[in-house]
Amino acid sequence: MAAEASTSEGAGAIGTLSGVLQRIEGQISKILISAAIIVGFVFLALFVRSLTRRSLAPKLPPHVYRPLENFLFYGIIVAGVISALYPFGITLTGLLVAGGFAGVVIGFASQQTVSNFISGIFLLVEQPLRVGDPVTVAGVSGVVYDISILSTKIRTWEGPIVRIPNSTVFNEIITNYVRTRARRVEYSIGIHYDSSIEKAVEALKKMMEEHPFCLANPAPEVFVDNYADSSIVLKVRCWAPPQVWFATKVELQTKTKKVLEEAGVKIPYPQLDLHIVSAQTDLPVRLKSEQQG
Amino acid sequence: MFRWFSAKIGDGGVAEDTATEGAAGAAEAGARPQLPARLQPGSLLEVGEAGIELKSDGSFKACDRYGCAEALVPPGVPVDIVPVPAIYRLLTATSFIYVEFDRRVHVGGEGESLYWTLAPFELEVNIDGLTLIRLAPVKVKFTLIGTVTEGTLARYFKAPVARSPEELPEIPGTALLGFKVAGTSALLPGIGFNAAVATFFADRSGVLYYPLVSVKTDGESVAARTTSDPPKDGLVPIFPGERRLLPFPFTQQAAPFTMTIEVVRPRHTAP
Repeated sequence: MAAEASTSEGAGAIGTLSGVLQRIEGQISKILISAAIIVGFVFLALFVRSLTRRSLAPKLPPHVYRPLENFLFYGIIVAGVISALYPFGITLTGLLVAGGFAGVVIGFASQQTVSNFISGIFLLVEQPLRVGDPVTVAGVSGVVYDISILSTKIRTWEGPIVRIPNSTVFNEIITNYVRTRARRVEYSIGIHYDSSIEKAVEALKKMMEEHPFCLANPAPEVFVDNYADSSIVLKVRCWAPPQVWFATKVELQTKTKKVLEEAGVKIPYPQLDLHIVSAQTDLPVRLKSEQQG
Repeated sequence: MFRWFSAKIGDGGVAEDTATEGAAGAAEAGARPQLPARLQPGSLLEVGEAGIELKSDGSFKACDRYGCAEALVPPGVPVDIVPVPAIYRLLTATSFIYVEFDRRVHVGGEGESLYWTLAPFELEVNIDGLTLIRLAPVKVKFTLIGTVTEGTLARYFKAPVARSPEELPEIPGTALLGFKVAGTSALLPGIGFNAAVATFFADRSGVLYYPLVSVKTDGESVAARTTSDPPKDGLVPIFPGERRLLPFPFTQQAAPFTMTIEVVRPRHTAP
């Protein structure tokens, strides 16, 4: 009897072990199938991205094809992940049902990531900024280097690349300097009180009319902005294509001194007139050069 | 008879016309250069403010008021000078050229009317099919048609307008632009057109023409469409040959030129 019991216990144990092994084997095969599906979809996504880049990059500007490329790439990856869950009996419907509970848990855990993801989608759709645009976002100024699904990278004017989470980009005030047809170049210049305002205005207007990037319409403007302590302050304005706004401003400001000098208009140093109302005795004045001092 | 190019041709002259069958033929010294042209060693070409020189030792220099480009060209390498629409030099930001007339012109009414003006072109220097530089024979200027946020940036040029091309003065670096107007009457201050899609035409004497621009006025606005037709009979198209075009903002590529605020309708009409 004892031997029979021992034999049947052994057979049961073997059966149990066999079942466990079969289940493990089944799970391993499912994992392998899922891994194969994911790898396959990753390769597909990479292929589609490469194909999109090669076919669209020569024809479309980066701000158009890159969002499209990102959308296709991440769309295929998400489809791959959902397909990879299928061997485990998890379907899209099941995911949606489970999402009710899991979503709450995961939502709390990955609130920031999801926020960045959703903001990234809105940024890609709304396109308040594009790759290559000079912008100021959240106090960071520079050129948009990349817009991905989670973050936006800006190459600052000094060179470093700053990564800003998309949720921050979406919620901050964005100043885009090229999403307009023209941008105003404006600066002030002071001329001497003894100089002719008319001559200065005429010379500065002519300078801007000669400049290729100062638009003919809206026409350049020069006007008296202020009668300041040491000079008459003229405001100089012209509109330029946004791509060349900075170069135009630099060129005009550099040329202004020469143009005014040629027109016989003086740019004064700060000066102060002293008026002594009542002096009982003569005031001795002694001039001293810097070398002597 | 007027000359459209203030051309000086050096020893080698402009000996070969590369593309224009009708306007082809070896140019004689002192004659108007035919464009497009193949530059021979030892030759000098000047069009307006642009100058191009290929010396016998292969030194090549092309200049306009905005700068120069130099190259060393070995013997036998072709140097082609091709006229292109004036939308490239200094800034490739628009496909449009806007010609402001020196006086307003009354257009529209009954039937179609043909008017003529001048529009600038640029000289593209191609060395063995590779673009070295594009030169501006006339001053480069831009303008904005419409509002700052929604308007259209365009290359700007001011020129006279006339009912026939013979009435127009000689301005080197410009091509004749004929535009046919239909629609309600209006006083037109200028004409804008999409130059990116324009192919040049030339007559037998080498005068360049932009293709016909079809303009429609409706009292509130004017729309101009660049056709592929010659503006008059007897012109032959200029095929630029093998060129590598610059990319344009794709949204503007085939767009017609529209203008809404510049049209002034007469306030008082005769009873």
